[in-house]
Amino acid sequence: MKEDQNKAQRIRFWTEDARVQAILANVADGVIGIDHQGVIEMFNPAAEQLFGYRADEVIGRNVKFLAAPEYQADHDQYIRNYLDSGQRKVIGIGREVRGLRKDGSEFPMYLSVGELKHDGFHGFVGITHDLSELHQTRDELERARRLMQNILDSMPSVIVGVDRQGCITHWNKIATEQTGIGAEQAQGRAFADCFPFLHRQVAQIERAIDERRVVASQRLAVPRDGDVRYVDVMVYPLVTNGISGAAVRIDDVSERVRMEDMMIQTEKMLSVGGLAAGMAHEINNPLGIIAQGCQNLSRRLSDELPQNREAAAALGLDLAVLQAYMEQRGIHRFLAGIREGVERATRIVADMLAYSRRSSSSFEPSSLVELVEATLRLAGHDYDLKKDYDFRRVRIVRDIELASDQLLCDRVAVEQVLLNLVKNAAQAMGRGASQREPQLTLRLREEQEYLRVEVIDNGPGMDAATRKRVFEPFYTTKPVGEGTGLGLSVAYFIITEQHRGTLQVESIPGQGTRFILRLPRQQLAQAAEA
Amino acid sequence: MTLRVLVVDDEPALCISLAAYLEDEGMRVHTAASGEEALALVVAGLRVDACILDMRLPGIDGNQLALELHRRLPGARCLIHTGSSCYHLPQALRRIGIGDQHVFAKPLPDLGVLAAAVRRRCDE
Repeated sequence: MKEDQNKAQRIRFWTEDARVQAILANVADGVIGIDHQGVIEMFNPAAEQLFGYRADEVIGRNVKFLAAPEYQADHDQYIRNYLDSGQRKVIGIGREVRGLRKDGSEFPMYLSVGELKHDGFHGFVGITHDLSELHQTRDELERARRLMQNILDSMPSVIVGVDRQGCITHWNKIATEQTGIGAEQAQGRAFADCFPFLHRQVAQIERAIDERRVVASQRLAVPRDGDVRYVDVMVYPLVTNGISGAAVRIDDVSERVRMEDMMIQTEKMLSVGGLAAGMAHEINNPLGIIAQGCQNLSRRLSDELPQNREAAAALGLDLAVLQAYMEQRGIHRFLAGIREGVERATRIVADMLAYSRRSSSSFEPSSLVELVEATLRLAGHDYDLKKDYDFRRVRIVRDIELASDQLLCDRVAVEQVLLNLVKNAAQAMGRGASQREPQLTLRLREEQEYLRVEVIDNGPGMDAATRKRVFEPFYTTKPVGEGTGLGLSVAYFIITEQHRGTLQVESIPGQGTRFILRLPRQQLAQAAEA
Repeated sequence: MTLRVLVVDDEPALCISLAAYLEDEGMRVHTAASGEEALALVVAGLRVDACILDMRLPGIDGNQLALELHRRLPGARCLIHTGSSCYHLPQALRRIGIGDQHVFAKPLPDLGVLAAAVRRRCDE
């Protein structure tokens, strides 16, 4: 039959030349010959190896069964397309596809198809190159890359890789969170570009790489969101030979820095406390001498005491003239000055004693809301406050979300603390720019085993330097004679030492100040009494 | 009747000014710089209606002195004038009739308060 004969002829085309045979038998890639309809006419040993079919099993069948199902449908289309339109999708070029073995397994392969036109013969030859190993390597590489990224992302620190030039090679999740720069955007960018506040660290990175040693910089102050944060920066040079670069770890240590500051603060308080108890007696005695002497002086200079009149008469002294003289020379003013001085010193000593006097003996069940209300009432009547500020002008906002406001505390002490905070806030708002309506917010919340009180004002706020020293004994921003500089440090002591709570301050200059007070609902075992 | 008062304080200036004030108030005042000196005065025959005692004294302290004075002069009423603001009245002193209202912290801005307390104490 003509067709069969034709077929036999065609087969011969692929097989009659011994040199072609030798090539097909020995190349490493699978080579498949097909006619213009896709019917297999030649299948070399490498193809047999690759697909698991013997040549005699496949010759005469349409080649598409060697493609994975998702490619089979397109297969006829490719050749027809090409023949109809000359448009090349695979033919003459190549692409990655998936092959289907006899055993049903699929594998990736690179398929390139060439067109043969020779002496009246028209067919196609496909060369299939197994990509399994390459893919496996690639997958492993990707898995390793993902694992490394995963490890980097799981770290609680900012971790970035940089090359010798200080350009980013690796970037973890925390780095994205803290800078707002995504991993793709960061890739290849300069370190100083991504961390503008750490531009000085670039030199450290170079040093670490050049000197092959770890370079650490601690407690660097960096501005963030209008606040100052502290970071530790560690630069670890990469130790593998032939690779020059470094891993940079950035840790936000603001909390730790704050804790350390607080501890130093507490220590200072305790030393003041110990000092105060001893000092008080020593100071109170001379104060007594001054106060009593001053009072006797006033009395014995007056013309009202009969004893004075007798003594004056005996000496021929006119007490009325003496009064006039004292009036003229301002003697009473001096005496009043002495009295005021003594009163002030007495107040300072009493405040200082608050450190040592406090114990947990006066702890009782209390209602926080009642404490706050009592404080606000007190503030409204406070004489000191009335002098320079009308508390009624302040808009009071009570923002209370509590399931229970019960706690065990020294009521008088906590009231003293709250009053101090409220007074400070009112005074601060009195001093601040007057364009804003002064507003004092008392926010009460629950926080696990603590009750939290926030005293928030919209006054002038304070700068970082003030904020740092605000709990320090004898630190005051008020005019001389107005504040003892002990109010907040006593408050700090009462809350942290006596009640085992915390007292913090946050402030943005120009926007206001927020004091955050946390009091444990229950006092643990009353350690102070044991 | 003129009230007789014994002031015991180791600070001479405090003793003198307190005595001066009480004298101006018409009282008869004796002073002693220590507990021992005070007791010696009593042994020597001093009789008073009230005693104003500092607590921190050289030798025997104010608490002991109060008990001792009470033993020897049951009629004398004690008041306490102390520089230590964390003074706690011991039970032994409470038992002999001394209460919180009889304790005064130095410095007193107005000695009139103390003088008034002495008068009240002697009326008890």
